[in-house]
Amino acid sequence: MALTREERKLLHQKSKQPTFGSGKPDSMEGFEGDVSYRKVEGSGTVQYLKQDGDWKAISSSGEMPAVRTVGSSSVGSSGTSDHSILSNLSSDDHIQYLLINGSRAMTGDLSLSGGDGALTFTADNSSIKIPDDKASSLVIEEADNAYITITTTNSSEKITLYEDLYINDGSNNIFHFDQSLAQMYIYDDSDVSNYMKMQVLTGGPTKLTTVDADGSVAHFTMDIDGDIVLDAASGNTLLELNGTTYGTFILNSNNIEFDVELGNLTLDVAGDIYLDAAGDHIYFADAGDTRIRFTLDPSPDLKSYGDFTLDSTGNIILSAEDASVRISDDDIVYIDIHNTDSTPEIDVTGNFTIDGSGTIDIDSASTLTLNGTSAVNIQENGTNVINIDTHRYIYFNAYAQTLYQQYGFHNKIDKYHQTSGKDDYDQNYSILSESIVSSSYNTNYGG
Amino acid sequence: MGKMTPLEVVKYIKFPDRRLISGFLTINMVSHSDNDGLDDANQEYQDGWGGGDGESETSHPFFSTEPDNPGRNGYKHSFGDYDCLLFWVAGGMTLHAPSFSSRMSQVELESGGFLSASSGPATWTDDTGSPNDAYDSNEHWFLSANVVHPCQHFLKSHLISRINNGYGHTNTDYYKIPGILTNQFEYNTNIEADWNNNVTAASSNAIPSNREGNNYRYILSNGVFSNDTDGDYVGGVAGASVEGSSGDLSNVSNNTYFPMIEGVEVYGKHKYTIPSHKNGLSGSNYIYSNTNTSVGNYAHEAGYWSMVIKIKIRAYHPTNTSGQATKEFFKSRTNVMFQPFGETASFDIGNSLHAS
Repeated sequence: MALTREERKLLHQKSKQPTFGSGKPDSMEGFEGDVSYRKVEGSGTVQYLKQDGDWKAISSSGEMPAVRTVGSSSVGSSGTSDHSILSNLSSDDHIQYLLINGSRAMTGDLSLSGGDGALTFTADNSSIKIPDDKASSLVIEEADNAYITITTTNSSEKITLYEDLYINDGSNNIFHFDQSLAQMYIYDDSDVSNYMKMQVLTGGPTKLTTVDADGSVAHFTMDIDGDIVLDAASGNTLLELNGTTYGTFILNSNNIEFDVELGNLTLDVAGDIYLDAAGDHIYFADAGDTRIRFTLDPSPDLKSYGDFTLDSTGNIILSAEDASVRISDDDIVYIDIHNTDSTPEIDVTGNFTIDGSGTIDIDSASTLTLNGTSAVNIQENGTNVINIDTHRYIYFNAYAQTLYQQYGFHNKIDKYHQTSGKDDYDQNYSILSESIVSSSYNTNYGG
Repeated sequence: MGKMTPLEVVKYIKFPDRRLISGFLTINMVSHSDNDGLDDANQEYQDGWGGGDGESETSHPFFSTEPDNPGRNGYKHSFGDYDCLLFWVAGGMTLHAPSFSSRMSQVELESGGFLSASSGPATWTDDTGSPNDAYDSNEHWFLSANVVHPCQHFLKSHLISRINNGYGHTNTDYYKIPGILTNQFEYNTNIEADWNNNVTAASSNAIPSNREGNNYRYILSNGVFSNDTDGDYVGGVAGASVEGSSGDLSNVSNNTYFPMIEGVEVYGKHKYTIPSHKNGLSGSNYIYSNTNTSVGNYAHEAGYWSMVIKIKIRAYHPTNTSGQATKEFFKSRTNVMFQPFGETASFDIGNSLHAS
């Protein structure tokens, strides 16, 4: 079974670990670039690097082990291969050698031929130190094309990278800083076809893009321990859908406006919605014309600039804990529904009309009382049918005769005064009348 | 000169079939309040006699004879010209569809003298029909003996009381107001209910203690006028006028006012039209049809009927001295009230026989 990506990474890391042993390692051991620390008699701990198929001693805690030079005798050399027998070995005046302890600075450029371990630090806390207070304290460049410049100018220290920067997790580039297009990528390390991109365009427009190869879950989350500040110098913060602006926050001086430019606006809240206006007013407007104003002082009110309709598919409930619901006009209460908690009562200032386009039913489970201080009228289509005056006389059908005495019951009627009875055939009693005036008579009478 | 057929005011009260009711029928008729500034009619006519209004003087009650001076000139007693009647009305009407049997053949129609031919084209011998008198064999005709129309009203009225001020006329040329007939069917004792039915005997003259049978009366007026001196009337002690005693109506001779009602008829009637032919122009035998015919369409209403209240008013004709009167002697107002009690409260008052 093939190794997983993670296994390959571990194996790779393991392979780069130095090995330990005694004596010079056999040339058959290890791989190119491997490092091995060996206890070598007379030399202490020697660091070997496998190069060109053989182990080469590159440093030692004591004397370097002797190197056998094959065929050296055949060239007839009269020199020695043992530096310890060289005179003036400790004099630091050899122009072609670097001291192993590094105490002697190089005076020219150091060129390394490269290769695995071309520059290797073996001690802990190794470092490369660069000069202080330099505009280009260290430049990593290709020919004269700088890739990295480290500036150590005091108070202006910086590292400048002139090419793209990738951070790879061993398998894929996970971070990519694209200096030429002024954009930065962060890839999904499980599928690099998914990524986030942040880009600054000409003039400073900045875009943060998330891409999901499947086009479904490239969400963007800001999980901030502190505040989130949206500071747009223009005052506009746009909400777009696939490039189309639907909503805009417009931040003017002392005014924040949210414009929904396309479609509807829905506030869908799992909890409560609070509108907290220290200015006391919340307005609802239509194309700039205020239609409704909530005043939020300790006695809040709602003002409608025009007709106002409460249209509910269910019930409309006005619940007043103080047991009074009032309807007023210009601060004058005209209708006061009070005692709503026990014996509800409607107090009306002025005339009160219930004008129904259909049937009006008053349904009382107990006594129904109509109490008019000056009169009680029951009308049909605007005409009194029953009138009860202050003497508690009852007038039917606008009976308007001036009588010496009023009666308990007055009825203006033509022909059919009244009837009562139990049913057809049973106990019927009616009063009928007719008035007849002469239609033909002696018009000279009395002349 | 002669007595005029009175002017009639007729009211129709629609009733359902076969509902028994009874109740008071009140009729109040008075000289119209427009005449309040005028004397009573006899005084006005006497004062203006021969003054150019002869058209009304020729009819009864005057018959062109100047009435006696009532002595009420200037009293403006037009209000005294009234007539008030209270009837007890009871009954109703039963309605059933007429039955027709034995449709007549053309042979029978011809043999009965109704058709000109017993077969083929024929004409009606009474020359009636529209657009012509041609016989139509699709029409159904029946002898009168084979038509039974059982509808019957059972309304009766009884004048309980009548009060007016016009029963004191003594002028022999002055036609007095007619009385309203009242019947009273009586036994002398209830024993006669078993053995001796005499109620068919008409008697209006028997001594009340002896009378039996129908003791009918024609009522001119009832009522008592109180001449208590505390009351106000012309010539009364407490009255303002002392020029005479004509206002004391307890004196029959002072009751010379002008009651207007000559009679009241109360009966039932329903919509019923039946085409007929007779046997020749001067024939006296009739046949009837229950179909649409060239002499009219058959119609019968069995669901409702009308109670007819016919008030006969003393009146005259501007040019005729007999026949149907057309004008009242003065403007009047009549109030009629009916208080039926019984099997229905479904009524509809109209000015003509109800047809729907």
